[in-house]
Amino acid sequence: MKEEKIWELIVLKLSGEAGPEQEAELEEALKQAPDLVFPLGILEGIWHSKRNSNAAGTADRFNRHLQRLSNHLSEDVLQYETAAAAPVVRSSRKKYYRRALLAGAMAACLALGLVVVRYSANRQEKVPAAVAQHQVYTRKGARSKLHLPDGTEVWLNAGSKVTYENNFGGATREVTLEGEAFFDVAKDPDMPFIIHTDMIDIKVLGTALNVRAYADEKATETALIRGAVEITLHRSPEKRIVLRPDEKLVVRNDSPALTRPVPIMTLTQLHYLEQDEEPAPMETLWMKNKLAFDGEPLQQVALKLERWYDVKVIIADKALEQVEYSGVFENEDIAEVLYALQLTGNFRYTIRGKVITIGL
Amino acid sequence: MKEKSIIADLQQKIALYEDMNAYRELYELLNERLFWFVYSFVKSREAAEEIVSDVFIKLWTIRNELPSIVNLQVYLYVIARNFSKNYIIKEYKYPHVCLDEIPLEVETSVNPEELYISSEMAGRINKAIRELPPQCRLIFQLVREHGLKHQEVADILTISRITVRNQLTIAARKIAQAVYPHLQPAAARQQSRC
Repeated sequence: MKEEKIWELIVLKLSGEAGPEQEAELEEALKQAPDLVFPLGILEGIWHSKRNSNAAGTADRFNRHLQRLSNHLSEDVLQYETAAAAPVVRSSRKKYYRRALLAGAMAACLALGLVVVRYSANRQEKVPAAVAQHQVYTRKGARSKLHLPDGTEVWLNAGSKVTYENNFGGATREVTLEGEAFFDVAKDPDMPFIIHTDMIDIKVLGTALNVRAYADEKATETALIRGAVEITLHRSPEKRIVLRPDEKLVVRNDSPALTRPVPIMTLTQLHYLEQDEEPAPMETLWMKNKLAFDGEPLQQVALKLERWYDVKVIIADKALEQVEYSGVFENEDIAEVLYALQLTGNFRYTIRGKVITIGL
Repeated sequence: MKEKSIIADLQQKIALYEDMNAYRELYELLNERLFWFVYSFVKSREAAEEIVSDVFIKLWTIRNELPSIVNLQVYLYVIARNFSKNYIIKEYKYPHVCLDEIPLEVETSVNPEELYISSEMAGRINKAIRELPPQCRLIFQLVREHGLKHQEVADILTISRITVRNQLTIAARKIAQAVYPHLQPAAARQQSRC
């Protein structure tokens, strides 16, 4: 056999790509060329020895990488990427909502509702660490805006509550939310901002996001406008979800039924209301004083109406609960909203004082 | 083979559950190999780390499309190679560049303690490896250290599978020759190109 051929077989064997026939062929050939056996043994040793890997540095490297990942999520352009760089490239949305947010902020200021700040330092039995708590809440029918000590701005939707400790910003920045709020979090890379809700914790690094966590609703929603957040599910803490701008995570509040395999969470893109001059995500329209339904079942619509107008809505017929409605309302009273909804869906309603009954 | 199924498993976890732990495992598994691969083109540790980081950012941003990628490891090498090329264009302000033409710096060597060979012999082996033409050394590294198949290396470097095999043959002969100088006369005839 030609020597060239033997070396080819040797390489195939070393690379683990030789078939049984080739292995046999090589064995036969080596009998004819015994002086190759020794160098081949050494070669095999070299081939299968691994270089010392620098495992110690990997953790640091990964942490630096995560930092870059979270920065990237707010910038969206990879330094060394060009259109031809990879076969699969996902386009992302334009960043025109910055100004929309400002407009929203002003609208929210105008619509300033009742803000109550209660110092509950005296209620120490509830707070073992003896840390004073601040609670800011909005009644039904009212919205409000507050500034946290670190410069973070929070818009509170109706019937919502934000709680934070007196030492907020000292060692940590943590708030607890019940209901719905929009956070424009002040950047501080050394101190992550954490939002706790019943179902999830959201870890934030300089970001704007809307969180909807009403206890009486079916799901907890996190809609990311810009920046990066990492979400942990209380129910399965090993899952960490990193959101990109324009993404929304919906986590079910109830335990998933075993018989009906519904995912406990879903990830979707934000839905923009395009008819506006400056399109804004449906999730943040409330800040612009607009009441929006985005394909939501009447059950959910009723809850929103109750909070928005501080009324009681009774759905008399169960068949109506899951019928979905969409619409955006601005400066309309409850009667006008109900009238408009009724035009698209087959129901009748009655208004008696603060109680609205919807039936077939 | 075992590693291939580990990678496929992590790929699925990242795609379906956005599993950060799986993402981290994949990073830990491949980061160093990709680092040395990129390093051989860009020859700067800082740039190589950044580029590998970008490759993994890219991976995260396309996580939804991962199920359609057949060989994730090769895919990542291809992205790494493209990013390296873009880095060189940007860094040296070349209008365009052909990666096959730039000089490579491939870090690969053997460790005498692990092989129970004398340091003198390890020195000879490492010298032989260092003296391999860069492309040949890169192919040797990708197959030996990164465990890639010949076809995979061919796909990553956009060369033919036969070229991969021929280059490895040359590398193997040169190293064997360093170990056992008596082979030299026969091997010398074949060292014309690499």
